[in-house]
Amino acid sequence: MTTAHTAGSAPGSVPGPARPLTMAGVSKSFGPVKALVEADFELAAGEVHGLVGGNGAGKTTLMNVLYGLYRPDAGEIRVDGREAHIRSPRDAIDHGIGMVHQHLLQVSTYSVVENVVLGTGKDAGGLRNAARRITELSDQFGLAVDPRARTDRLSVGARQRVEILKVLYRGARILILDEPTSSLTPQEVDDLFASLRGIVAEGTSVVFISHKVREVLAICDRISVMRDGRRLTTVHRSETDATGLASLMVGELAAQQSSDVAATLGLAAVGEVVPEEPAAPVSGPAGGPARLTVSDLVVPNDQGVAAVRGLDLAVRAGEVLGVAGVAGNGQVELAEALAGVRHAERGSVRVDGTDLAGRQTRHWLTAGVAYVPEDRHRDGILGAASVTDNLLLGAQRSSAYRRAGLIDWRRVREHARTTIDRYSIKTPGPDAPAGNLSGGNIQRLVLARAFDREPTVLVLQNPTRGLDLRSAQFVYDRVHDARDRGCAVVLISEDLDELSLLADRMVVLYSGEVVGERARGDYDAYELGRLMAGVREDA
Amino acid sequence: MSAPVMTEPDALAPARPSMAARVIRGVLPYVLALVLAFVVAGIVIAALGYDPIEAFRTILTTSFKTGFGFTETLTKWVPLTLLALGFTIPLAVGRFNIGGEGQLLVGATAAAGVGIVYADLPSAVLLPMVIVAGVLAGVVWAGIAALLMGRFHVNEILSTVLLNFVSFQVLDYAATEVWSDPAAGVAATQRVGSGAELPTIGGPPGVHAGLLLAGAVALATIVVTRRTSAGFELRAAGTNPRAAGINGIRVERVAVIALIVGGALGGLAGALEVSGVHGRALEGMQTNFLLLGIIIGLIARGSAVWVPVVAFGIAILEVGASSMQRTVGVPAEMVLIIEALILIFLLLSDVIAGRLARRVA
Repeated sequence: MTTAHTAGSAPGSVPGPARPLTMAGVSKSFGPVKALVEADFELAAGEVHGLVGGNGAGKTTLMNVLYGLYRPDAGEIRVDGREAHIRSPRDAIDHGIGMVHQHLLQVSTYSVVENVVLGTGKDAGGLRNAARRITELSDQFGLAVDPRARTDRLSVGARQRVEILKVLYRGARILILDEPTSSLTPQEVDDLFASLRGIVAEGTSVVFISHKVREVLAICDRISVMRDGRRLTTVHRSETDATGLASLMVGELAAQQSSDVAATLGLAAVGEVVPEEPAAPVSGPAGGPARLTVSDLVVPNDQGVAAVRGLDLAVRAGEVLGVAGVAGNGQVELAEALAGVRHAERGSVRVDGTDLAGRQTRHWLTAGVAYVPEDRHRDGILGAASVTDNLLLGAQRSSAYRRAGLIDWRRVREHARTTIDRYSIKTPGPDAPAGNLSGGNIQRLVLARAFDREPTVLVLQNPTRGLDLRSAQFVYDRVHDARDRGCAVVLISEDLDELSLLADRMVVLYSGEVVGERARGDYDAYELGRLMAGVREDA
Repeated sequence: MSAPVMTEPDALAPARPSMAARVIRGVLPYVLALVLAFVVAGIVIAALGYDPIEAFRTILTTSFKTGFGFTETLTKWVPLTLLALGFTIPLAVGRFNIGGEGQLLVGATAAAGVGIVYADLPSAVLLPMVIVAGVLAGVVWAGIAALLMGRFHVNEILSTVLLNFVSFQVLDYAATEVWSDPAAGVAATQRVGSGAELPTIGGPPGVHAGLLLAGAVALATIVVTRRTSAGFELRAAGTNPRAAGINGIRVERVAVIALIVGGALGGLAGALEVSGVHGRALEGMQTNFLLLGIIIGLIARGSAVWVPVVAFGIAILEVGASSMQRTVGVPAEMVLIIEALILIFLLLSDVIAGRLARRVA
């Protein structure tokens, strides 16, 4: 096993045995967008190599090129010193490269062993041997999972272990993990890291793509920082610290200026409350009246099964209530019920005393409920329609934009232009299709629209997922604005750092119920993790 | 709109295509489709042993050579435009109204019925009654499908198509049992009272005044879809029903209303055919308006602005067709083949132009 000695930024020049992987001069454009510009990358045997950078920095694109999902415009890939032509994931697998995507792609009705052998060409007769091999691998690396379990019955953490086992089962020597911790509890993160250490000890190399400095520093031997489609530099863990790495990632946006960004990066451990201008409780969350009162709320999921089961919440004006939890515990249903998009089976949702449950969505909008959905592309915008149309959406019947019974497009356009300026929405123009904007700009658009309505209740779900730091900061600033205006904010998020930064109070959602509640600063990550995993408090 | 344009949802697509790319994407498919359709049709006509140049010349010039040809073209334009709009308005919310001919036939039947029963009323009273009756019948006919769709999630394609078959029987019953005219030689109702007939404008030969009504409807459709909140909601619900719903638009209701409006236009077309063209309702009066309406709507890509223009082009071909059969001997059905070829090549060249545009961009 080669120790990852030098750091430096000349990865190709390292002498000694051939590197398991070198990539050089890799370029990839999507239309006019240069996603990768002569990017290089080099991996040593038996290391965990962190790949960090903001959104659009090119880290996932680079790994997708390596995994054969994208064909590069130029560049060379060498595996064990020999040039590799990787045109498809199958080629990548043949070269011993495996990737675990952020969104797990599995056949949910198959068992673990069936999912693992899927695509390997093994017939059913080999299943028993495969199951034995999976058990061996999972024992060896601490990837606990029952080979015979049906995949859809497993937790997200377990399903991720299945994906890793799948890669190992195929004998991969290079394992790529794309944001593997995004939906794991802190305990599961610890377990994952322990497994990764075992895996690299066997000589396999791991590429660990992440946004989170704290996790990267905890697990990686070396860290490559990407920015604007290039590898900026590669540093050894011992050569850097959290602040140093963060400033490399963030670039010109000085990290120290922005404590929120620092927090998202995970610089501050969850629990140590972020020193965000000594939490001046605006209008005192304790003093404000309850704006949003939810009682005994039962909400069905798409299959008609209750996903939110008897929930009670009260959010005061000027308060940010965080809802923590692992994805799939009723968050989507709760968010949609609070936004008036999904009908509740039972219970009430009162905004300033008026029960809105069972009423049409437009009545919720008039009552001042604004909603920032999790899936921006699917739920937030009319992708094919213009930015102007999207900013009008929901207000098309408002008297502000009407003249003689018709829509006053001149006024609408004027408003769109000022909004684009005020919210710094980067668009070629007000008439450009909203679907072509970047994720961060789509989120700005969605927020601009939400704030146009002067909301009294703001419901956000995972509002910064997939956003670069600058856009994430923008979202945080808007949440602070809303709070300062006396809005009751419900922030449903899987990101504990984000929650601990923004939420005045936090509840943990598990299996559609609130299993715990904590005031700001009155918790640590492991305690929350236990709650998120469903370990109930002594009641 | 949800016309079948091939665009791939690519998050990293160019923010704005270059001018050249836009021209290629916008104009080239039409030019290509027209040229290819005529080339292929020309080959077929030549293979049948006729002179393709002569055939095309007849098709394209008949409408403009004689007053009669032009009148005929405008007369055809009326139901074509109305049925095309009746198809594209529900299409804007992603619903397919394939019941245009059924709506036209029940509209015609109702209009004829009113025109016969109240034959003695003066025109100022009877004519509006006849037209309203046609519209209402179309509303009811499409309303059945809309109700089934809104309440019970019955696929509107199936229900509208099946209602077409029912409408044949409705007209048949009216034409053979209720108001039958044995002297007509075909299954047809008696003539409506003279007060139910539309006046003629221009001429002779002149076009029935329904042309103005259809023109007004086409204009109103443009204004409504572009300038009113209802039109905005229609477009929003069609572009992304989820996002529209989240922003307070009742997508299901918008779809139901759009389908009913489509039916109203079909019914109107039926009434105008009765009071402007035939003076009665008769079997087969729907000819292939439904099919042509769909072709027009798709070629126009659902645009309310382009539907009347495309409908005019198709009306020219339709009028030229019978003339071609008479003078050159090529079967009139050849024109239907040309129309279908235009649409097919348009869809095909969309794909090609899309690729080209991406390369240029």
